[in-house]
This record gives sequence, structure tokens and C-alpha cells, in this order.
Amino acid sequence: MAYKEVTVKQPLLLTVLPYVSIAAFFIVWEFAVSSGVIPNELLASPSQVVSTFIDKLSNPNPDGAVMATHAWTSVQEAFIGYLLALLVGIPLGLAMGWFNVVEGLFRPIFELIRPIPPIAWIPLTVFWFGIGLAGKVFIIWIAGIVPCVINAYVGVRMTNPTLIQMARTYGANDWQIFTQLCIPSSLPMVFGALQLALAYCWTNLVAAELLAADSGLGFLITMGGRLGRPDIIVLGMICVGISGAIIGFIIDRVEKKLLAGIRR
Amino acid sequence: MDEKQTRNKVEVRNLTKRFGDLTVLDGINFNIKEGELLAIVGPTGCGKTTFLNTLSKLMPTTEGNIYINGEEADPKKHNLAYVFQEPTCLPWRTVRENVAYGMEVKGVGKEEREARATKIMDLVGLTSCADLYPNQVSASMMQRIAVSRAFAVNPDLLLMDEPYGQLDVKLRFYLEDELVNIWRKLNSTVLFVTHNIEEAVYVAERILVLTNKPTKIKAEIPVDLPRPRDLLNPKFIELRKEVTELIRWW
Amino acid sequence: MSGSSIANETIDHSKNREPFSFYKFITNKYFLNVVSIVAFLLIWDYVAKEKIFRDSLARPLEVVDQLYMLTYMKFAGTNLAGHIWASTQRVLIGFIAASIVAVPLGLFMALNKYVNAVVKPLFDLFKPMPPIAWVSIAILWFGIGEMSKVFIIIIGTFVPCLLNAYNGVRLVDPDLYDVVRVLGGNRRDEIFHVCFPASFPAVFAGLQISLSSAWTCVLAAELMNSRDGMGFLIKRGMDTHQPTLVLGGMVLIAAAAYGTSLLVTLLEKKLCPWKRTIENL
Repeated sequence: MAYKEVTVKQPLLLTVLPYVSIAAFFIVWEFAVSSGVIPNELLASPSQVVSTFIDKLSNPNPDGAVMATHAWTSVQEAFIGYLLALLVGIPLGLAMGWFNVVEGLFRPIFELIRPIPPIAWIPLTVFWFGIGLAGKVFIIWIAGIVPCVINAYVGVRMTNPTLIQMARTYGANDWQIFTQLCIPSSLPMVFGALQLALAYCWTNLVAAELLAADSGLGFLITMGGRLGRPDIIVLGMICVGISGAIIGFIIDRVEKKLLAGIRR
Repeated sequence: MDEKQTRNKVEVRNLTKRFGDLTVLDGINFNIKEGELLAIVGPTGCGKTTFLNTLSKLMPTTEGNIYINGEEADPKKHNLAYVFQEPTCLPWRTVRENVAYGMEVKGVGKEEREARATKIMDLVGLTSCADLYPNQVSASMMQRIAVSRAFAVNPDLLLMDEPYGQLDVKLRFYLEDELVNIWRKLNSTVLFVTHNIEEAVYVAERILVLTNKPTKIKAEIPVDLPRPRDLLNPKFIELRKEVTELIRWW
Repeated sequence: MSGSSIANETIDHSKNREPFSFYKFITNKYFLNVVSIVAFLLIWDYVAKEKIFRDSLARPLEVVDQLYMLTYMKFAGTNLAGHIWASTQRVLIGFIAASIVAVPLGLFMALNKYVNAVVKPLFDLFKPMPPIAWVSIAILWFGIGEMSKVFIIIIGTFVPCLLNAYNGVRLVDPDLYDVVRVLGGNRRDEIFHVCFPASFPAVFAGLQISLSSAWTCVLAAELMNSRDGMGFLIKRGMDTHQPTLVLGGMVLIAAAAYGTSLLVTLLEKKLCPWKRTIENL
């Protein structure tokens, strides 16, 4: 069956408005700061942020590291924590969804730990692991594991019960049903978890670095605050936002590719 | 009829199912002969689904048991197959892989699997879409996949739960003919549950009429019409009326 | 039972009685839950007692003791209830302020293409920025008082509220509109009888996410700078190296987050009892 792609013409105004809106935002921002309506100690203008960015590419002052170092530190921490969260969380969630014993043993502990915001672990983490890589990875891991477990669990639970009955009448055992039915049917939910976990990891990366770090994008923001340099703060925020958006975009792409292969 | 045809393949003894105080199935006894196509009809809500679920061992029975070839039925040991009312295709497998799924669970070798799947798909006309995914084929195709998958395991007992209930009349007749055709070619033992009396008279060798809850067997009607059956044959109409009367008189 | 009397002679009845089975007992869900919790506490206690993390983990009973002590003893000017209320108050103010603006705006964006075209791009610009990244600039703008904390909570709760309200309206089943149209309803009927009710579950899902985000934000803000609140307890515990205080704070904040999310769930049950729930989740 072939569907014809139909393009609906929309009013020109609707196409233009988003760009106008963004442009207006930056112009107002620039103008408000440069004209002094908003004092420069409180907010840096876009042009200042850009020049700070260019400067920070090669200049480690005043916070002790160049831009690339900060970005690399953050990405490294986030990535390790994220991968560990996926590696532990998804299998755990899948098993909890299907095997009653696993659910009975792990669900209460999971429910106890779940409402604690990952940031609350920071002090204990600092006590236990210091302010190095391990500590931050631990916080990011805690943040990422929650959506992984929940989504994988829900995905397995939503397996069509008739399919399970069908497999049972053919004499399939629990393990066959788990691997042949539950896991494939939970895949869309699991991929949802990839996105969600990443967002959680990235948010909490900033939190972990705000409190205890010596480099990283979150650290850059904190230093900007301590030094009273709004340009550095805004630069850090924008970098965190943009890199988060880029990683999210990549995962979205990968997900679409993989799911297309699975479900057509 | 030869000797093989008259042997009892499946024996159901005192099949009883209670949910707390509610008795759904009340001491049902019947046999299915080898290679027989037995239809079961009953009023709405007479516990047909419970009946099938206990027969297929999805649900434990309160009393009584099901014997296949004289042994207690066990999905792990016997070849049971179940065609559900709703389509049960695995969306992540192609049509061919879906048809082969039952055999895969049974541990049939890969080559054997391929050969049998190809044969069955030829019979039901699925060959042309063997490599498509289920969401690319129509609803009637989905049901054919389920039927093929069931026949492919050479089942000792094939249970069908109103498999064509949701299809339109024309398609249904077509698929019923197809079912009868496969069944005769493969000589399987089939238990066909339906609420459509015409359908039952059309496909079955014998019809069991069930009562309302608590469900018992009310009557047993052999259908010895020649095949292919003619819906307008006076004998056919008479049988249909007989069954209809039985259901109306619960 | 007349039909079954013949067969009854051959069937052994006792076989159908469920015998007490050791396997059944140890795989019982509630039994496993108890085992799980007890094991968790015992391991925690053992790890703390054996000083595997040196002096950086408190035993469960010490934490309870510490919390009990705080209920009658003033700590940094107020007792336990005061600290709990300080945080809760911030969360409530920020959460309510954000949801009052964000939910209607989200609904409005989904209904009006032009508003959407203006607001959505700005919103997409701010969306990927974690709310915690705003902590530094909030302090720069509003100082270290209440205002900066509430500001961060608003930032953190605004996004999920708006996003869910927006998607809730856009994902309404189009057939439902036809029901109203076929009965001769106008645009207003469509909006009030279909759009809003149908998007309620999504709105509530957004509120739940916002709430958990609000607790994270208040914690971040209090950890950075504060004189009261549960985050302050944790921070003070960190600075003075008192694991009991840190763990006590964590327990409190978990309980508070859980309690408020329960409240929203109850409210949702009350307001849209028709919502389909997936069982066994």
C-alpha cells in the first residue's frame, strides 16, 4: 500500500513566526543589556557570551580550564554513568516485569530509593568516593537507573497477554516467553527509557558538578557564580543546553533507525 | 470409517471449574476421535472461554482432567495449539517466522521448520506475503497466520476460539472452506468453538451444544452431510434449525 | 452434579486440594517483600557497623534516633517540623505558581497555531537547560533569599507542566471531536467537552513529573545556600561530617516527595475517575 505524501500549505505567517520570535528574543536580550536596562553585573548580553566563549576556547582563566576540558569532563562523566545505568537498570526492570521472585525481592528496595532526589546522594557520595570521577558517575548512575527500571518493567508488563497464552499452549517455558515475547514487545518502552535516562543523567550531572568538582560544565557555571561573572554563567548554561540537545537528538535518531528495523 | 478414525484421541473426564462459589463448568464428559472436527456451540456467556482455557491447560481445573492418547494433557509434552479470537501475531516477526514460531517452541529442527512452514503457507495462500511483517497484512491474513501456525505443529489437539468471529461473512466462508481443506489434508483433531450456528454446521463432523452456566453438555448432534456442504440443502437447514432450537431452550 | 457422579469414582479428590508447599510459600510476593526490606536494613546495618565506609555511613537506628531528637530539639533555629515546612512551603509556592501559568499556556499553545508559533521556539530554546543550571544565576539575580529558591523551582516545574498540557491536547483522539461535531457542537463545545477533559490525564502526568522535579530543585537550591529546610539539614550534615544528619535528611525528603505525589494521585482520582489504569503496574 502506498501512501501519497501530501504537503499542506500553511500561511506564510506561521512559517515566519518562529524565526521572528527567536530573533526578537535575542535582539531584546542584547538591547536590554547593552542599553543598561538590565545591569551588566546581573546578565551578560549575547555578544558578550559569544566573545567569552571564543576567549575560553584557549584561555584557562579565570576558572582553571579551557572550554574543551570542561566539556570533555562532563561528557565523560555523563556517558559512563548513563551506560552503567542502562546496563544495570534495563535488565533489572525486564526481570522485575516477568519474574515474580525478582520483583518481590527488588521492588520494595527500588520503591524506597526512588523518591530520593539523586542530588540528595551528593553528600554521601562525597564522603564515600571523594569529588573525583567515581562520585559523579555514582550520582548520574542513580539518576539514570530509575527511568530505565520503570520503563523496562512497564514494557514487559504491557506484553499482550493473549500472546503469552498462545506461547504457553505451544508449550513454551517461562524463559522462552521472556526472551521471545516480553523482551521484543518491551523494546519501544526501553528506547523511551534511553531518552528519559539521558535527560535525568544530564540534569544531575550539572547538580553533581555544582557542588563538588574541579572541572566540567556545571563547575564552570558555579565558578561564574562565585566570581560574579554572568557571561561565564550564561555560557555554561548554553553549553549544557546545547550539548544535552545534541545528545538527545542523536539518541532519537538511533532509536528511530533501530525501531524501524524491528517494527517496520 | 477405518480403525484409526474411530480411536478416541482426546478424552475429557468430569471437567469441572469453580471460581469460589461460582461453578462455571459442571462435570463435562466427552471424547474427540482422531482426525475429527468437533464444533462446540453455546449461548453467550456460557463459559466457552473458560472451557477452552481449561482444555488447553492455561487454567487449572477444579476437578476432572483431559487425556490425550490416554495420558494427562500437558502443553510441554503434547502438541496443543490454540487459535485465539483476536489476532496473535508477533509484530516483530515476519509472516514466515510467525508461522514457524510454534514449531520453534516445540524444538523442531530448522530445515523441517522451513519445509513445513512453506507447505502450510502454500495451502493457505500466504506465500506471497511470507516476508512481510504482520502490520503490513490485513486482518484476515493475521488470522490465517495464526491458523497456519497452529496446523504447522501437527497438533494432537487444535483448539479454535471463534477464530473468524470478527470477519465479514464472505471472508468467513472462504476461510472456513480453507480450514476444512487443511484439516482434511492434514487429518488433525480440531475443537472449534463458535457462537455462529451456521458456521458450526458448515464445518463440523459433530456438534456439542452447551447449556448456560453452570455449563454442561446439553446435546450431541452428529453432522453427516457430504462435503462440500451446501447452505441451502434441506438437510443442512434442518440441522441448523435443530441446533438453534436447542440453544434457544436453555 | 448428577453428570459427574460416574466419573467421581475414578478421580482422586485429594489431588485437587492445594497442599502446603514450601516452594509456594517462599515465592509468595509478600513474603519476598518482607525478606527484601529486612535484608536491605540488615545489610545497611552491617555495612555501617563494620565501618566499611569508615565513619561515613550511619546505622538505621541511629538515623531514627537523630530524627527523633530533632523533633524536640531546635537545630539552627527551628525543629524538625520547621525544616520540613520550610522546604515544603518553597515547593508549594513554586509548584503552584508554575502550574497556574504553564498548564493554561500549554493548552492555549495547542489550540492556537499562532501562539504556538511564537512561544514554542523560545520554549524549545530553554527546554534542554537543566533547571539546576539556573542556580548560580538565580543567586546572582535574587540573592540568597526565598526568591531565588522559588525561582529555581518555577523554572524546574514549568517545562514538564507545559509540555504535558500541550501534548495532552494534541494527542486527543480526533474521533472524539467528530462526536461533538456530529451533534452540532461548535468550537467552544469541542474545547470544553472534549479537549480539556481528554487532556486531563496528561496534565496530571505533567504535574507529577513537575512535583518530583520541584523537590530536586528545592534540594539543589538549599544545598547551595540556605538557613533552613531539609536540604539545609543534608548540607549541614555534609559540612560537619554527620552521616546521621545526611541520611535523616534523605529519608525526610523521600517521604515528603512521596507524600506530595500521593496527594496529586488522589486529586487525579477525584477529578478524572474515568481514567483507564493499567493493572499490576
